[in-house]
Amino acid sequence: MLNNSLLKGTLNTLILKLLADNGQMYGYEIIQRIKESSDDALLITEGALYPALHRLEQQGLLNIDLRTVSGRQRKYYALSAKGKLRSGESLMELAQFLGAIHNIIKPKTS
Amino acid sequence: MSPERITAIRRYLRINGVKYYDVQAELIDHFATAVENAERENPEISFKEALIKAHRSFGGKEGFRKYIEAAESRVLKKIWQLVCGVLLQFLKWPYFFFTVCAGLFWYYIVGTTPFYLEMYGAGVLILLIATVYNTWKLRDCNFFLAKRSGNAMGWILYLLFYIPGQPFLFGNSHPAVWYQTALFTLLSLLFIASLKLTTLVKQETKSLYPEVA
Repeated sequence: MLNNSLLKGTLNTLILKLLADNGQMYGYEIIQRIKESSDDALLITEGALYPALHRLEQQGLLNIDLRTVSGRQRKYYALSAKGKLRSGESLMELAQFLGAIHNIIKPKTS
Repeated sequence: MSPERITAIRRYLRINGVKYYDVQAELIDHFATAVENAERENPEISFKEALIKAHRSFGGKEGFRKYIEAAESRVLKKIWQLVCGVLLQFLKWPYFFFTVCAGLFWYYIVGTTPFYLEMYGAGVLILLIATVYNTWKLRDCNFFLAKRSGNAMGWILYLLFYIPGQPFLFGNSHPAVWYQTALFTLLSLLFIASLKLTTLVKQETKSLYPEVA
């Protein structure tokens, strides 16, 4: 498992990317998907995920759909139009950031 | 999942500090899904063990604290949105007509009545009584949004108590009369907003949680 502090700044981008790829998802599903896709390297606690989801919702980046599933209410999150735009921008920023980090860690030898 | 198990999860959350229905709603689904998954992975596991496992993965008490804090800021933002929405209505037709009438009424009272501060005090007292009554009505309410809407009116009252202590309000100078008129008008609008807030919170709750509202 990787150091969780590395994940903090990228959590919003990961959420936006997952929703862009999968359409609608609920909280538990997002956690499991991140865990599976990273081969258990990234473990997000629910205490971090839900506040992040709610912040994105407040910023108008996510739309909510409430459905009754197996006797309980389930909250599905999906990207809003604003969220779709932000998702692309956010991924580009992350790619630039990772490129810059990579250049520092493994500098090109001239 | 059976209703008994969902009730058990709700009780577990309440014992661990997640008291309100609107804060519990998403957690109940999360815990129920986690329990179902744990039982699928290990059929020998008991319901209680699966629940504790889900709680641990949530980050224990710290996880709940973070979740509740986030819910609180979300709810407060929603309340201020509702209050501001009502106040903004007073700048639009036809409510704007009421704002103008209230302004003219208070301008007349401030200019002609020597007891305007007593009248202001009476206005604040009425608002205070309305807020206390609102809070009392909501004493058994199981919704965080509704509970916090009472607190929002408390903050408005604090401002109304605080502002009259400011020197710019005293004296008979022309600006002071305008300040007093603006303040009394705002008080009238806030009073109506406080009355409407309860209805708006009820509507909001009903639309989100029709099964219990």
